[in-house]
Amino acid sequence: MNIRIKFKSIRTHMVICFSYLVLFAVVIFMFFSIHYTKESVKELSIENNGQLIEQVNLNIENYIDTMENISQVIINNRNIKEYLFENNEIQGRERIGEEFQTVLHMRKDICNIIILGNNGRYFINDGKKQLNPYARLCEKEWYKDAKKAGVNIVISSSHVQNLVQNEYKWVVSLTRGIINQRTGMVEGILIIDLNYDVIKDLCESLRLGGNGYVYIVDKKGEIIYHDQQQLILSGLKHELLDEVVNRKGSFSVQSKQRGSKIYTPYHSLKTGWTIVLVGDTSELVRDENTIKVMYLGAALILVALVILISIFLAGSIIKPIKQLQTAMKEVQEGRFGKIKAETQGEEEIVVLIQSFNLMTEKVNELMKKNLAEQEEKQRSELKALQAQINPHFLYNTLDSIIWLIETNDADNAIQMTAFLARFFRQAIGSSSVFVPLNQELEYTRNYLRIQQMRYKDKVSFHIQVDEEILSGTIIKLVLQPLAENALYHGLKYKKGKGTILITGYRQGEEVRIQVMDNGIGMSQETLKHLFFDSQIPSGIKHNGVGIKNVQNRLQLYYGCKYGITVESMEKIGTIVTVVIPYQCMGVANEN
Amino acid sequence: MKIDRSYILMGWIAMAASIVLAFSNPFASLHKKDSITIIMIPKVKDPTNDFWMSMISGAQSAAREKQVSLEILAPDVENDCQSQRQFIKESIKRKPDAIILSPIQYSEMTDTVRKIREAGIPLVLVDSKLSENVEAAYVGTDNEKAGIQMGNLLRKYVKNGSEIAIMSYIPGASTAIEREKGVSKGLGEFKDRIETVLYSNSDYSEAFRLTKKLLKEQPEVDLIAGLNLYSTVGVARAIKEMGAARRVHVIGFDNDVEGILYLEEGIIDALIVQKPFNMGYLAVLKSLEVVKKEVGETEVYCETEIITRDNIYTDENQKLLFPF
Repeated sequence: MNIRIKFKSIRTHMVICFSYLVLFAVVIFMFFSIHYTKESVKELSIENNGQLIEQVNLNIENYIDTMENISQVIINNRNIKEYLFENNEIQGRERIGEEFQTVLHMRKDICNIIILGNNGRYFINDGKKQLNPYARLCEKEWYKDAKKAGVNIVISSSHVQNLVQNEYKWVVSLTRGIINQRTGMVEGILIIDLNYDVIKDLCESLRLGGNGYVYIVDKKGEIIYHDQQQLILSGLKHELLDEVVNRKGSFSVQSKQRGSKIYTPYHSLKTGWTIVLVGDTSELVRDENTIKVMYLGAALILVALVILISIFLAGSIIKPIKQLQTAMKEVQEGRFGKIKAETQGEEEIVVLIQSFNLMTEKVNELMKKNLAEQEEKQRSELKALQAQINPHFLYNTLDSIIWLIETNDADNAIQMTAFLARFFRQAIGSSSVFVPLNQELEYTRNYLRIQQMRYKDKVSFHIQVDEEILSGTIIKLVLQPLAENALYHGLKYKKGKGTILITGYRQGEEVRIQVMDNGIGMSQETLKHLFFDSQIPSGIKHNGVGIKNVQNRLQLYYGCKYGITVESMEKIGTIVTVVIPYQCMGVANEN
Repeated sequence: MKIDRSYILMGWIAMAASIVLAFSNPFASLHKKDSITIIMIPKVKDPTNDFWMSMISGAQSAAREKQVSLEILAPDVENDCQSQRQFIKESIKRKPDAIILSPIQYSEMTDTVRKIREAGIPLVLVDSKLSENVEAAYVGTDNEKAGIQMGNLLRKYVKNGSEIAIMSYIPGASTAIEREKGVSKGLGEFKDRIETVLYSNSDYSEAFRLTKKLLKEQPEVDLIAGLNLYSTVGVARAIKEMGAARRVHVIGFDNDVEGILYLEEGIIDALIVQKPFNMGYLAVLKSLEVVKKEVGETEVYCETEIITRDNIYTDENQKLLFPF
């Protein structure tokens, strides 16, 4: 079997179909699951970012709360007001110094506590620090805001605190007006500086897996903390500043230089700041690639498995079909019942095979029956033909006897009658269809002798048959009718002496027996109609049963290949050849 | 039957392949795309030196952003060319993807630096250049432009009879030459007012001494330009001590806390300030470009900012002057 035929087999079809189906299903499944996973990873990261940012805000607000509490304590301290607005300088200084020191010791995140009166009096931390004479406080934005707010608490943006001489620290300041109780006016200010490092560290601790970062902007969209503030201010980098202040919830930004980023802003109510966490989606994308590869692997395994399974599956389905196919071929070639399809496999196939088996059996039975019927028919036909020839022979013989008696040839008549009697007893009486060839020749010889007597010496005959075939059997009454034909149709009308020659020999697998006469012969027309009763012109008598009967019987028994052929030429003679298979003669080897 | 067997074989192979694919983590390599290593050798790494700390943090910021591993190898004190040479040799041995260098010496170091190139490691110079062009790219201040900026500032203070002194640092240093040239250009028609050019040798006390001497000997000098931090601060110290702030105007270069103090005080009138953070940042970006072989411009200049009393505490300048 070649491969091309194989590929058209049901198995291949099934495997391909299954594979396509699974591939299709897997691709759809992959598409949805990757999409879903992508979304859920994104959501998860956004949620996570939200939580982180809330934590940061909580920490910052915690610092602010602490500062507020401290400011509350300091504001309520009588010493401060006395120091700022009265003249209790020495006593107040020590007490204030102690209190400020305590706070600064407790809270390392606070780097400065400053009180400043409009009258120029001030106190910084432990009281030893000097005010920077060139501070130009009134020009500072944060100070202006603090002044405007009066007694209220204001949280500044991040800035460099230059109030303390020789110190330039980054801080976030809490300011609060101090009221002079005598005048009821805000005449001083409390400044508490939160070390900016606290916020910086907080933001830096939140670097999200490499690429993420945190930044903080104030209400005006000015940067409080950004890792790359200098780059942004130099215009080397762009960051969303004003935009995040008014936005709520996460959003992603796509840009060519920086890829896709997820911004998660958080608006702090207490400080008015917006804390923004920026996550890099390329990290998510990396996950996405991993997921894709994983799904692809799974899909490949699935498809491979399906191909395998379908090969086996198809095999088990195909196997009985194949057996059925083989069985059918056997039947086609005429070998019934030898191969029975195994009754195993799928339900439908079992039913199919059972039906096939049943059908085969039936066909087989029918064929046998048919054959038997055919044989029966043949036999009865043969019998009928035989029955036809017998009376014919009897008639002819009786005719001869009558003729002998008429001529007072009593001896011959007796001989003839005896011959007839023997003939009947042996041949016609017997139900057998066959006789040995030499016996058949003997009848013929007897018959011809009688005819010789009748026609005086007008007829002579010779029989030359090979010894080899003499013991073989042949359908009886084949040669006698032929000899009779030769006599009546050939020699009877011939003027002068005629001869009948009977020869017999084996030629390969065939046996040929020829009956030749040198009588008047037959015309082509007559020859043509020799085997058809009805076509024969009514003028010619005695043709009836003879040759056609013999031909029918020979062909009925030996088959159409065999039988009689007639060659004849007018005024020259006729050759009738009987051809029968040598095999059917049943010649014994020793003979 | 033969076909059947090959089908099954193919199936097994496909299955084995898929299993291998699924479990052998072929994307492990995806996770760690060969990280690029860059070694940066600045002139100094000293927490009190704002300029270099700022440059380092700029470089680190870029490294973090680009997921590059960055290593800093630097002498503990400025002008320690011996240990900087040592660091260069060590870096070459480590075979990083790129080296960012800020050479202390202009010509004496060229031989050592050339070895970087010979080792096939791309080199990006930051802040300072070398006598020979061995670098793949340069990131720094356009010193001449900064000088012009300074010259333009000086012009505003030029009065009738004004005389200008320039306090440079090292004679023959490339940056010094460029800055001097820039100042003359910026002064334009007042170029000839430059009375003298002095060299502090990057030393506060030398600058201090020279200034005092100058002001005594040439009292007409009422404009002094300090061409680097040491010169500027030294000049300012002298002016403060002599109480000459009202008379003498000082324009300086670079900054530290002392410089800011003098600026607030009014002793220094203006400072030309470089942007070291940006320099560091851009140097890393540039070296990445070099590594990926997609270099655009081979010279990147960072602008300089003019800082006066009035704009110290603006958002932009605070960050520049007081890096954290």
